[in-house]
Order: sequence, then C-alpha cells, then structure tokens
Amino acid sequence: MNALLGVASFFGGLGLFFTGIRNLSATMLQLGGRPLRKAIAAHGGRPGVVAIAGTVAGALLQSTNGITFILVSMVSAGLLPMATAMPLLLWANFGTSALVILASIDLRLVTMVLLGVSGTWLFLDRKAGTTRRQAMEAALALAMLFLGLELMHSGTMELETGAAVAEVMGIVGSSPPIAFLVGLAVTLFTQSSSTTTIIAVSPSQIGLLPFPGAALVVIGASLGSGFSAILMGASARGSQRQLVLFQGLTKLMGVVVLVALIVAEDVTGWPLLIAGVRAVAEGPGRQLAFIYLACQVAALAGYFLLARPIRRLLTAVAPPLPAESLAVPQFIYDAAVGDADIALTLAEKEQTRVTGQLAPTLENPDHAITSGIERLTEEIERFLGSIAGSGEDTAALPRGELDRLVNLRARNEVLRVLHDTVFQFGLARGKMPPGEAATLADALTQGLGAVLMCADDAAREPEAANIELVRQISSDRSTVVDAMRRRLVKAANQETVYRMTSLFERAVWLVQRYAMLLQAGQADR
Amino acid sequence: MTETILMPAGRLDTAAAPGFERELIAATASGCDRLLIDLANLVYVSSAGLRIFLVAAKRLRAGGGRIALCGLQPQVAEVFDISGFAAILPVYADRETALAALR
Repeated sequence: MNALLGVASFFGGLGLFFTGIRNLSATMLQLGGRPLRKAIAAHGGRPGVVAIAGTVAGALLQSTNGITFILVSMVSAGLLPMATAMPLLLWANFGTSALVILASIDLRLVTMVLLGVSGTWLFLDRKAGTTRRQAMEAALALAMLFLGLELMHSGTMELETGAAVAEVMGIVGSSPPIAFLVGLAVTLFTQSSSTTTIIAVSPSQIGLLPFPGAALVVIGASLGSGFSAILMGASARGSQRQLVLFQGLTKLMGVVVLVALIVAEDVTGWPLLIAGVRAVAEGPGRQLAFIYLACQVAALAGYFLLARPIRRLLTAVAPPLPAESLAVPQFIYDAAVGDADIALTLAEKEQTRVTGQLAPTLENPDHAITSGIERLTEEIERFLGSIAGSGEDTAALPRGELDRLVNLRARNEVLRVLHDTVFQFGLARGKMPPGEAATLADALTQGLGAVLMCADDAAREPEAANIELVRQISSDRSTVVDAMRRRLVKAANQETVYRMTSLFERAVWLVQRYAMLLQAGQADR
Repeated sequence: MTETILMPAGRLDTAAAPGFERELIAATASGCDRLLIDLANLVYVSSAGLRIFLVAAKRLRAGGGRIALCGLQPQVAEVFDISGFAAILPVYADRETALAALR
C-alpha cells in the first residue's frame, strides 16, 4: 500500500512539476521574451552581457529548445550574429542548472508561501493581461513546480526498498551503461535534461538510486537533450539547423569529457569528477546537481577551446540559406568608416548586391529573400550614416565625398523601395486570372525584367553609355500601360490588373530615378 | 561589308537563350558588321532574349557595325514596347526595309 501511495504521489508530483515548468516557461517567455531580445540585440557584442543574458534566460525560461527558437528568429532577422547566438545558447544551458540546484534544496516553506501569495493574488486580481498578473502567474507556476518536486520527494520516501520500482532503480543505479541509456531515453521523452535530473534527485537523495549510477543518468540525459534538439530541428535549414546541430555537438563534447573523467577515475583511482563533486557538495541530491552543472561547464569549455573549428564545421554541414546570406554585408565593414573614399566605394559595391537581386525577385518573389534585402539596405544605410557621423564630422568631409555620400544614400532608398515594388509586382502576377490578363502580365514581367537587368548592368559598370541606356528604356510608359488597362477592362479581378500595371509604372519610374542618381553620382567623381 | 541574317524560331526564353546567344556570338566574331535578326517566326521573347539582342547590338556598335530587327509578331512587339527596347534597338516592319536601312 505504501508503495502504491508512493508511486501515486511520485506520479502526481511529476504531473504538477511538468505543468509548473510548462506554465513557467510560457509565462516567462511572454514577460521576458521581448526585453531579452532587446537587450541581446543592443548589447550582444559584449561577452559579459551574453553570459549574463544567457544564464538568466536559461534560469527563467528553463527551456533551451524555446531559447534556441528565439535565437533562430533573431539570427534570421539579422538582429544577432551566429557567433553571438552560439555562446548565448550555452550560457542558457548553464542557467538551467539553477532549477536543478533548487530542486536539491528543501524549499517547503518557500513553496507554501509562494503558492499562498500567488494563488490568493490571482483570485483577487480580476484584470487580465497585466504585467503584474503575468508575474504572479509565473510565481504560481514556480510554486506548482516546487510542490511537484515535494510530492515526488515524499512519494519516493514511501517506496520501500523491496518494492518493484525500488528494485528497478537499484538495477539502473548499479549499471553505468543502463543508467546512461535510461537518462538518454527519459530525456528524449521529456525533452529536457534538467527535468530528467530533477526526477533523479529524489530517489538519489534517499539512496534508492545509487550516486555513481545517478551521475550517469544525468550525463545520459545531457546527451539526450542534444539528440532531442536535433530531432526537433530535423526539418530545419540554414541558421536554425546550425543552432540545433550546435546544441547536439556541444552536449556530445561535454558528455565525452565527463565520461572520460569518470572512466579514468574508475580505472586509475585518481580523484577526478566523482570525488571532486563529493568534496564540494553534501548529499547525493546536490552532488547530482553539480554533475548537471559540470555537463554545462564542460560544453562551455569545449566551445571556447574549439569555437572556430566548430563554427566552420557547422557552416559546412548547414550552410546559411540564401536569404540569410543576402542580409549579411559582403563588402562594408565598420572599420572602413574611417576612410570615407574607400567606405563609399564599398557601399557602392554592396548596393550592386541589391540591384543583382531585382530580376530574380521578379521571377520568384520570396518573402525571406525580400526581408534579407530589406535588412541589407538597412545595413548599408547604417554604414553610410556612420560615415556621415555627427554634424561636425560631416562638415569635415571633402565636398566631393559629401556629394557621393548624399547620392549613395538616395540610391539606397530608391533601391529599397524598388525592390519592394518588384516583390509586390511578382506577388500580384501570381494572382492574375488566366487568359488574356495572364498573357499581358507575362509581357509586363518580361519587359520589366529586361529593364531591371539593364539597371543592374549600369550599377556594376556605371559607364555613361550604360546609364544613358537605362534612362532611355525607363522613360514614361503611361501610354502603353493605359492601353493595356483599356484592353483588360472586362477581365476578371480588375483590382489585380490595376495593381499590377500600377506597380509596373512605379518600378519603371524608380529605375529612371535610379539612373538619374547614377548619372549624378558619376558627375560627382 | 559583311551581312548576316539570323532567323530564330519558336520561343526565345531562358532555356533557348544560350543557344541563340552562341549563334549571335559566332556571327559577330566572324567579321560580320551588318546583322539582321528576322523575328517573323518568333512567337515569344523573354527578358533573357531581349538581353541577348542588346548584347549583340553593343558588340556590333563597339566594332563599328550595325544591327536591325524586323518582322516582329504582335506579342513580341508588345514586349519590345513595354520594355522600352523599341526605343533603343532599330525595329522594322519587314526584311526588305530592314536590309535597306542596314545598307
């Protein structure tokens, strides 16, 4: 009977724990997701900020998978370079140790107070969606989590050593390979190595799960977490795939190091990992928490020692998507701002990447590519703005360079709007009704495509003849376009016909404007 | 004065463009300085095709040569109008008129 009560209590506690951790993660994501993103975007270049932000995120969100996907969206949006996302993820893994350590401490008093305060507050506070309410919901989730741990602990206490569960735990604990595999398998199920570790703390604390075996459960759980991330990101591509593979690789590195230490300790008798953990932590529960911490530290150490080879390997295995590569400047770099002449030349070269993408976007309008180009033009504008600097610095630029700068900024803006217009045109083309309307849409597309190719040629080789050619072919088309509209007056989907022809006119006008700026830019030299 | 007449047929799209471009390059490389492209049998032209005409015109003009196009079918003529290429490439109604202009 005691054994049944023990199992039921453990199981009930597990349910409370899972609910608590899920709700905590969701609430903290709502509360802290945006401030976290802002802080990382603003200060992500500083290693100290990365370490703190990652650790805090991991401690609060308790979901490295959730953090992985936040980081992927930030990398895809160009807010964070991959070189910052990777250590940030590792620090987040480190931050998840906080809950594991808390789980090894007696928190009954704190749990009851937290439960009472948050539960009562939420009952009395009727306003939905406020920050205060969200904070209380997070506190309640934390309380449920701790209460679940308490129930699991008391459930485990009820289990007699002769019970089946206790016997199974004894077998697991005394066989390192089985312990490792159990840790891996449970984590594949829970998708969280910290959860697996916390589950192992209670039986370990009362001796049901012998410590050396329990340590292998934790290490197996760490590897399981890496596998779990890779499985979840199986369909991922580009940066997302790089990050999930990074999770798996660093977890594997940590596991290899720790297993090597344990094996060496076992074979040689030297005081290494197990002895070290026993020396610093009292009680099997806390010792398990330190093993978990050691897994994260080993992964961090492995990364900092092998950062470059790891990044090269991941770039080779999971190359960035075209849209991601587009957003990354190839020519401009911050240090070049000091020499205005070189910087302006670099910015001009960078702009040819935008003109080069116009015709492909016309043929295959792609949201991701367009977002990439948008970010690239923002980067170019930011770079040009850095050259301009303050009012005083601008006055220090020679007149010729100042004119070039103004011209390039104007061209950048025209290209940004032109690219968006071409993208909208491409989308509208897909919505044209079949028949004559579709035939005319194709004619517009081929005509515009030729104009854009000539614009690209002029951008790459801004000779007078090329620029003059673009000016000629981008002259006013209103007569031709009006004639088309009259022919299609009875076509289905008039709105799309009108929109497409208007976008065509706008695009041609923008190319004309671009050619004029190119011409003026050549005159400034 | 060396005259060459090319008469592409069917569709001049992304797939067919490389083949026709090779013909044009061969024609301009062989010393031709008067090139007539008769489009009477061409039913479709894409931006890739237009680009080839432009490249051929540039190559000929660089060598002091001349180019003319003729016999545009209505749908091809429309693409020339829309793209603005009708303003930069000499287009004639028929072969006789085009040859007379070239000579």
